[in-house]
Amino acid sequence: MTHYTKLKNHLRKSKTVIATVVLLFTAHQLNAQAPGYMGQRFLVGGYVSVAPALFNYNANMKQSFISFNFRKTIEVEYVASRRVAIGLHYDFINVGTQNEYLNESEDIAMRPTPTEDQKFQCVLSRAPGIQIKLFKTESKGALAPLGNYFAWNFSLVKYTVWNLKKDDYSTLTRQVFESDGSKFLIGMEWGSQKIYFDRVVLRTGFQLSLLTGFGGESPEKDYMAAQRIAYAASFNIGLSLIVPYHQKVN
Amino acid sequence: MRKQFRNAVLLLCLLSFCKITAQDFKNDYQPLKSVNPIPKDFLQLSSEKFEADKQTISKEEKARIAKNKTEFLLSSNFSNDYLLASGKILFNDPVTVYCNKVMDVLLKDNPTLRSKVRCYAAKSTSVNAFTTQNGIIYITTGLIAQLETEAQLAFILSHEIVHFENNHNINAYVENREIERGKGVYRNQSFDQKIISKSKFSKEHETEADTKGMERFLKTDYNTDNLDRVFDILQYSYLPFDDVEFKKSFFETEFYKFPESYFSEKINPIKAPEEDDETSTHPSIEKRRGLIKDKLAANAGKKTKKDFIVSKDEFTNIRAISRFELVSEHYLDNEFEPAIYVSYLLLKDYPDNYYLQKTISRSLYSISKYANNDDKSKATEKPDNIQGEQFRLYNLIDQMKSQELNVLALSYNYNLSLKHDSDADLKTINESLLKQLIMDDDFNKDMFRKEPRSAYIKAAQSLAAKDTVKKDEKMSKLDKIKSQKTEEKIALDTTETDYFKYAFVRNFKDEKFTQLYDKFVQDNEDKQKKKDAETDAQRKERVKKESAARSKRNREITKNGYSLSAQKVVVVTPNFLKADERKRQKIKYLASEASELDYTDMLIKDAALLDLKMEILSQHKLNQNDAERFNDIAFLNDWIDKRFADIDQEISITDRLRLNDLIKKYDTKYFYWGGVINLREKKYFNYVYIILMIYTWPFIPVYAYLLAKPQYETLHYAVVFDLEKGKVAMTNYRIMKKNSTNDVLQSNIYDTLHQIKKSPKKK
Repeated sequence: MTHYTKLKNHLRKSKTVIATVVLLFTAHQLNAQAPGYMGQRFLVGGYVSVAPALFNYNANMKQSFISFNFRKTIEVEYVASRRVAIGLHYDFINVGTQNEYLNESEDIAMRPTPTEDQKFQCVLSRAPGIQIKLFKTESKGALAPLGNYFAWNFSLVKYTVWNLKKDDYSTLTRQVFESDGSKFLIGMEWGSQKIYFDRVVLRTGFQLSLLTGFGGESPEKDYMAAQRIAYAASFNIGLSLIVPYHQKVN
Repeated sequence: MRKQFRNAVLLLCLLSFCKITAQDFKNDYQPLKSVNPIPKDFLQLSSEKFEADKQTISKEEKARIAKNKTEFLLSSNFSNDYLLASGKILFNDPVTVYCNKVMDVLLKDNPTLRSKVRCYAAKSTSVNAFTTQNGIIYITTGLIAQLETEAQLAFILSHEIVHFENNHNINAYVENREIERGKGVYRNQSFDQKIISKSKFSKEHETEADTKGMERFLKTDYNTDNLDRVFDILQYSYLPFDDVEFKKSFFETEFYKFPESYFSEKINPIKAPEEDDETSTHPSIEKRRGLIKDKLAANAGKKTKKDFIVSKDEFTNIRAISRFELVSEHYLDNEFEPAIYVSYLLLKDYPDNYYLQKTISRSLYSISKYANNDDKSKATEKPDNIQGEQFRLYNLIDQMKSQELNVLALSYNYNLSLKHDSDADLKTINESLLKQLIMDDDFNKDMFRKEPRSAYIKAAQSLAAKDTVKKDEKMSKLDKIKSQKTEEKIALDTTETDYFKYAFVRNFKDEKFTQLYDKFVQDNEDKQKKKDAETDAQRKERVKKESAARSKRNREITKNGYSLSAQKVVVVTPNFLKADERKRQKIKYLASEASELDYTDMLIKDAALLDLKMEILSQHKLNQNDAERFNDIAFLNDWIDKRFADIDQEISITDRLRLNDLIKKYDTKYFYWGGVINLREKKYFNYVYIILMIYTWPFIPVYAYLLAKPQYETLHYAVVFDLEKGKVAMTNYRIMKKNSTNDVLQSNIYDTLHQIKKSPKKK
């Protein structure tokens, strides 16, 4: 077993450890009597990240500069102090759009035609992660969970890519790699949160990401993942709801 | 018979009421307070008043004129209400009641007009009376303090009534706008000509008010003989109400005598101020005097000559009240020398009045504190431009150095505290001054502690003997001579630089003083010893540790905020101001008032979420019978203004009794002053985006967004005072480059209240 596989297995097991650490930290912070938004500190919601193909060189670039990749995320956020909010999120990454390059004329002759499903999921990933938002910009009225923030994102990306070497031209089928790949996605985000009707949070932000770690098993797979998952820059917009749980202040 | 009996009872009740309301100035004075019921003027929202007034603008007016009138009504209603809410305006108090009685006399033939105008007393040192568009006449206590007769007051009121009757305020505003814009006859006028035009128009109004006011006045039975003196009062309004020599003996005791050089023989003579008749808003005093004389000459046949129609006693009473009010107003405005001088003048009539003595004590204490902090110029005025007898007081204080002022304040205050030993404020001042004196860098130990100390004791013993003998009058001639010699010897033992070294001879007879003195000296010596024993390295280490502890605390506050553990807080006059820098009329009055009401509701809502008990002391939350709360607001606002004025001076609070009452009444020591200022800013660099649009065209949408995006700045502030300590318990200022949206406000309010409620972290 390679070091890589050992580490990967270890990480799989450590999901529970990470979750426990987060929960313990959260429980500890509950005593910190952070104000939150009118005493409410849990947010549940989701957002969509849009990465213009301009910033993320991939298949779409062959079509037009004005092409986008989308990533959908659901998240739970917890206001840990006046300046810090911690979020757990789960990303659904589908790189590839309706302008999927395999449909182009020169490829049609050469390669299998993907099904409709395949067209939109030429790379499919799931990425659980943690986000730490720092609301430090006093001049912009930052007071967690409101106002401008800077955030660190850490995600463990599990992805599936097509193994192009196994394209079967006779049956016009293609297969995925035998094993899923895993990568770390580290992101930095600058954003802003506004609250409407004392309940609805509108989030807008800009994120820079870097995919890293666990390389070496299959350079081709890594290359494809890096090329397609790595959102060099993305804009996001989303909505969350503030959970109406009000913490008593002593 | 029954009717007669009822009338007699009513009369008795009335007389007893008058007796209760009339103040006895002999021993003390209770500052003026408003009395229930609160008039509608104080309770109605400014926006409602504005909407009602707007209906009075004729639809036939030119659009431009109508717009100007609307603008005026908006700003005047809000400015007027700001004044009404300040606590400086009184209602149903003796001064207001009396002025309204005089108005009744003036307008007895015109009940319609009488129902439209009302008078309120304004606590102010300025000598002034003015009218608002909606019929309120304000008359300052500073003016009443200077008047000689009721007839003079009646003349001033009749002048003000004309301003209201003839809509002078609104007409002046509209005309001024026309002048500023160069419309009509003002077209092509230069800047200077416009100023003169404005002045001329204003003078016309004043002349009309004088003339018509005099006509109304002449219809009454008031005496016209002393009207000329009203103009003298106005001309010399910058002087106190009397000009009496300030004698140095006022501050001196038998062992505490000022050097002769401190009291100048010469004073600056009183000169009538020069008037700039061309640009002034009022005609010159001489012109007004001449006009009145002409009018009077035309009515020379008038027979009745009454200086007082309502009541001479009542006038004397309200004038005395107004003079007492001057004392507190000067003190509150940090005008300590006038406060002392006016108290000095009043003490001539009421030598045992404790209120006056205490104000002098507090003023001297403040001057001493400012001087000790090298800020004497902020608390005192140079005597060069001071006219009249008050010059001597200004000159004395000007010549005294920090330590001398400290001795003076302590000497006066301690001697006062001997007569009023239950007053906690005097005790606080004594301790503060004594500590300051001993901690003073120039403090001469030998002067107060060593040799002079024994001299003090000797002198004190001799004085004690002298006093005892004096009481039974059995002192022999030789004892008397001996005692006199001791006194002389001590008196001779001083120079100009240490003339004050025996100031406390008598006080050293007092065990409390001696103990306090010894305690502070000991503390000082211990501190000094500790300091001397410390090596340079240790000192640096200590300073470093102290600095680190301060930084840690500041970091903690920045991170988690304060933790006051309060169960209740009183919010005093929450405030919201919205302004637009781009507009000519910058303050958005209507939006400000609406936002203020919302802000108050948010405070209540967030306090409820936090289980924090809250009381709002705001003009908008009062009902008709809340005069008591109105008075509390007035006192608290005065108090906070004073605290902020003295914030750098470490002046101890000297309103302990009233503050304790408030703490007890509202069941909390935490009082919150807070609000929001929201400004829509002018964007000065839009042209940069336009240039960038040309050179970097792909980013046009970004620039278009930046151009269109409004620019705001919002300040949310909250200061929580601990009234028990008289110190700021918490400050929360946030300047944000964004609009004051609901979420931003809610978040900030909750955060502030959360810090008030939460307990410190358990370690």
